[in-house]
This record gives sequence, structure tokens and C-alpha cells, in this order.
Amino acid sequence: MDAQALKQQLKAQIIEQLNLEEVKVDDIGDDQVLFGEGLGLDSIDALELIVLLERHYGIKITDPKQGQTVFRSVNTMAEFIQSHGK
Amino acid sequence: MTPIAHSRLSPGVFTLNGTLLAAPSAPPVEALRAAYQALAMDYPKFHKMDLAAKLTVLVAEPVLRVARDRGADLAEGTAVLALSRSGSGSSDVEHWRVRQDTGLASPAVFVYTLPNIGVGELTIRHGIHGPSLCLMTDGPHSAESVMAARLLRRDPRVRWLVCLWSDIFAARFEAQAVLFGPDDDPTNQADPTTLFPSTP
Amino acid sequence: MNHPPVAITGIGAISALGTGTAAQLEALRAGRSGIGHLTHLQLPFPELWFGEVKATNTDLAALAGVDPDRSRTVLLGLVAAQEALRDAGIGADTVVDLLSASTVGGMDRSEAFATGWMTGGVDGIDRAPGHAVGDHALQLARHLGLRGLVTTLSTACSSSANALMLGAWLIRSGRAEVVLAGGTDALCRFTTAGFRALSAMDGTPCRPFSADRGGMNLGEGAAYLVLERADRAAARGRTPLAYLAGAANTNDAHHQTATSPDGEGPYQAMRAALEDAGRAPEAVDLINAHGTGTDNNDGTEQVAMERLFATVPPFVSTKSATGHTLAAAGALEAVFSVLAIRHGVVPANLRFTAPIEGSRSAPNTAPREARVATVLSTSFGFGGNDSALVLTATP
Repeated sequence: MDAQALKQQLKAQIIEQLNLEEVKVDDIGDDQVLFGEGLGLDSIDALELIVLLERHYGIKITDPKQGQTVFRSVNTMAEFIQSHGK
Repeated sequence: MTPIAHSRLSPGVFTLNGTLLAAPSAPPVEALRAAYQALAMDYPKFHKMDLAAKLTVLVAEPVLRVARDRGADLAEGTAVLALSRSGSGSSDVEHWRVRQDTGLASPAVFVYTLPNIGVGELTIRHGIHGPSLCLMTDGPHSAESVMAARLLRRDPRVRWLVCLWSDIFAARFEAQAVLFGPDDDPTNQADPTTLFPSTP
Repeated sequence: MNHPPVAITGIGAISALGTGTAAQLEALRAGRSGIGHLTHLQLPFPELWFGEVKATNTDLAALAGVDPDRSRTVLLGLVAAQEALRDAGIGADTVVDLLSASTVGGMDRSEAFATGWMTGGVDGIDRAPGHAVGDHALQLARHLGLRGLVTTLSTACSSSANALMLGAWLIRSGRAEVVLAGGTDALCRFTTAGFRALSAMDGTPCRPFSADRGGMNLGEGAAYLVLERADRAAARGRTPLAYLAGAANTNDAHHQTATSPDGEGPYQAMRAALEDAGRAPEAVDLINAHGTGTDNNDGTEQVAMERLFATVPPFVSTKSATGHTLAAAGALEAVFSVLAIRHGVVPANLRFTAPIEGSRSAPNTAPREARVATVLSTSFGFGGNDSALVLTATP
């Protein structure tokens, strides 16, 4: 899958997994900060994103602290998936 | 105790002091979304809650708006008593189902598998730091709930008291909320078995 | 204080440290840990560390004198509650109110029925015997022959601390003379899988209040205390084991699973409980801390303690020995507090490695003898529900 398609797919998966009911795929910028002031995600969302990576991409993050860098933005998530994916 | 405000949320009925706010029909997922829209809450976190927490937050919202209008100190002077029949039953099943279907538990689902989580959401939304109790009861009318309400009122910090009843599982849902103010004497209770008015 | 003192006239407990309060005391004195891999429960988590009660359901049922075909939560609860009533010398002639806490309820049994609900649709859960969390208290009351009020409290990990608080209020207000209050929770797949998903579990035996702490170990157990109006206890010639002098509950109103960085909820709960007890912070000889071992809890709890106390008194997390027994924890730690007062023992916070960065206090790391007259025992639950109890040698 090319990078752009992966990012679009990720945005849709994030919205679905995190129940971001009032957010649309186009509302999320590739480089937008997902946590805190950005998209307003919290620590439970971070854990859900770990589950998302494992469920959809077969990638396990065992240290939640690693998530802080991986889940910075859709760009960082896509890069992580492409460098770790099967 | 005669409550200052009384709200009710069940299939087809969302009222404050008997006035219809919305008429959300079943099933619960759609009904609770309709109730949320009727309140114009603008609270995106709402969509992340499980159904039981949504029901708790929704039914309490109108009475807490009344409390705020009357100058209640929600932060320090307000207590919450929650009565629940179903507890976290819906999320208990969901936690089990997700694990069965995907082999992985969902953190966001598991968090809601506790009967007091709706009250937690309520205290976060309104910044309520006062005491709270969650009792499992078979219905809204129980002598122990009146006892617990009176005991909460003995706490010198407590001036306002919000009492909630909720039950939600599969297709059924029902909730009520009442607000008691500082001047409401807990001993003036005509019917000692309930905190909730029998009239809508 | 313008209310009658609340005496504690009986205690009962079962945990990974053993069956009965004598076994708890012996383990606390020796600084023994109950944490290990599962040996009695058939759960698919061979790699995880737990505070397991070393007894099968059949063993527990034999102890309790009932049929084993019921939830382990109920079996554990019966063993502890029977001991507490026996200890208090309370018989069937006394009207006793039961305030019981649980989060797991009959979940361990529901798991056995899970396939049924899955195939029969979610409506089937209503038919899973004992699933409803309130059912455990009804079963306890029935088997104990209690005739008073029966109430189930469920506020996550502060549940049984709140049962004790409500019990104290009942007695102070004159609405009850004798209350049996406590909690029970059994280990099961449901909670283990959930806390693992929350990344809240340490992959090794837990190290509460350590800089390198890695999370909690789940435990199981039950503890009940008999609360009695002090003049009633005196009239029947009972010397109280201790007093429940104060209690308070607050909401942190910050996040479902994380305490606010300044520990506001825990701070206010501790402050209000001491005020309720008419005790100054300086009077506290021991803090039986919540201390789950998670990054967030221990860090914020220590911040709260350091806000309240100019010099933080000796503090310990006995969860380092028992694991986190969830709804039972508040009552189990109240029993430990009573034992500390009665027997002059300060328990150990096991496996402590190094102080949390930026802190100016550290837990007590080895069991020792000392005069203990006032204990502050804390329990903080998901949903931001924070409770503190003050247990004392004198009213």
C-alpha cells in the first residue's frame, strides 16, 4: 500500500477505534498532533492505538512509553508501520 | 425531601420537571445520541463513553444545569448518590465479546466495566469533587437509598445532592435524576422509601 | 466530635498471605510475600504474577461450610465474614446490617457461562447466575443468616473503604448498632485481561513507590470488619480492637483511570478523613497507602502525602505482599491497620528499590515493632473515587 493510502486508512481506523464521532477523515492532518491540545486524545486512547496496531498490522508495542513517539501524528504512525510491518 | 429538579430518561421520554426535552425512541444507541443532541452539550468525550455512562451523564445534565443556575458550588459542595440495577452489564458483555472476537481486550471497553464509571464521567464533566456513593439496587425505590442520601447530607461539606437511578441492558434503558438543595430537609420525606417523585 | 465512637469489635480476612487474621499478622511480621505464579486457579496466564489465595474453591467451600458450586467471590467473602462475626462474638440473635463491596461479583462464574451468552445473545447474561455484582451480598447475607439491611457498594478499588465509611455513618447516625462491612473479589480472566490491556500489570513481582516500578500484580481476597456503637460493645463486655475514627470520600474529577498530577482527590480525601477523626496530620503513626505499583498511582499518591504532611510518617503498600485485591483492598488494609494497632507492627513495603525522582520520602522497607495508635489507610478507585479511613487505638 502506498503511503498516502495507508494514512487515509489509518485516519479512518483511528476514528472508528476511538469513537471520534464528530471527526471526519479530512479533519485529521497528516502531521497534526494527536494527543493533548491536538486531537485531544488521552492515555486510554494511546492504549487503544496499541491494540489497533496489533489488530490491523500485527505490530506489538510492549512499552507504552514507545507509543508516545509512534503516536505523535498520522505521519509518525505510518512511518512506524512501514518500517515494522510484515 | 422534595427535589428542586427531577429528570427522567427512558424510551420515548426525556423530561425535566415533567417538561419534555426530547422523545428519544429505542434502541438505546440512537436514543441516547438523540438525547445528547437535544441537550446541545458539545462534549466530544461523550461519544467515547459506554452506554451506561452516557445514560448517567445525560440524565444528570438537566438537573445539574438547574443547580448551576441556582448558584450551586458544584466543585466542593455537591455529593452524588448513584443507584444502579444493571451496573456495567453492557460493557461486561462487550469486554468479553471483543476479547472473544479479536483475541485482544480493548482498554477503552474495560475501563467501563465498573458500575461507578458513569459517576466518574459526571464528576469530570462538572468538576464535582464532593463525595459519591454507588449502590447496586433492584429499583429506584429502596429504603437504603434514602438512608444513604441522608447520610451523605450529614457530611458538613455537602450542600447539594444529586441522586441518580439507572438501568440499561440490551434493549432496555431507564434513568432518573433528582437534585436536592441546601434548604431541603431530609427528614421531611412523605414517602420514606424513595428519593424519586412518582409523577413524571 | 459530636457523634458516638465507632468501635471495631471483630475482623476477618483471607488473602494471598493466608486464611484468617492470625495468618495475615504472622506474614506481615515476617515481611513475607504472597506474590507468585498461579498454583490453584486454572487461568491461562502462566507468565503473570498474582496474589492468589492458595486454596481451591472446594477448599474454600469446606472452610465456609457450604456447597462449592458458587462464585469464588462469595466463597472468599464467607470465609472472611464468618471469622469477623466469630471474632466479635456476634450470634444470630443480633440484627446485623451488611455493607459489602465487590467489582468482580460472580464474574468468575459468568465466564463459565460465557459461551452460552455468546450463542444466546447478550440477553443471556441476565441468566448467568450471580453475575450481577449485587448478588454476592445477598448470598453472603443468606448464608450468614443476617437479618439487617443488605447493600452492595461498587466504586472500583475504593469500594470496601466506602463500605466501611458508610458503616461508620450508619452507626454514628443511630440508624444501626452493628454493621458488617467489607469486600471480596476473586481473580478471574475478566479483570486480568482488562488490566493487561491497560498495561497496568508488572511482568515481575510489583515494587510500589519505587522509581522503577512497573505496575501492579492482581490479587484476590476478602476482608470484613464488625463495626459497633462503642457503648453497645462496652455494655456486652467487649473491648474494641480499634476504632474507625474518621472516613472521607472525594472525587478527583480528572480522568477515568489516572489521578491528577497534584493528587488533589487523594489529598482532599486524606485531609477530610483526618478532620472527620479530629486528628492532626502529626498524629498519624502509619499510612497504609493505596500503592498499587503503577506509575500514575504511586507518583500522585506520594505527591498528595507530601502535600499533607510536613514530614511524611512511615508509609507502606501492603499490596507488595497481597497483590491488588480490588474491591477487597480497602477492607483488607483496614484489617492490616487494626493488626498494626493491636500488635504494634509496622509492615513492610516489599521490593522497594529507589525513591521516586523528586520525592522527599520513602516507604518503610522492613517490618518492625513500634507503637501504632493512629493509621491512615487510603484507597483510590477508577472513576476518580478516592477514600481515606482513620483507624485508631482510642476513640
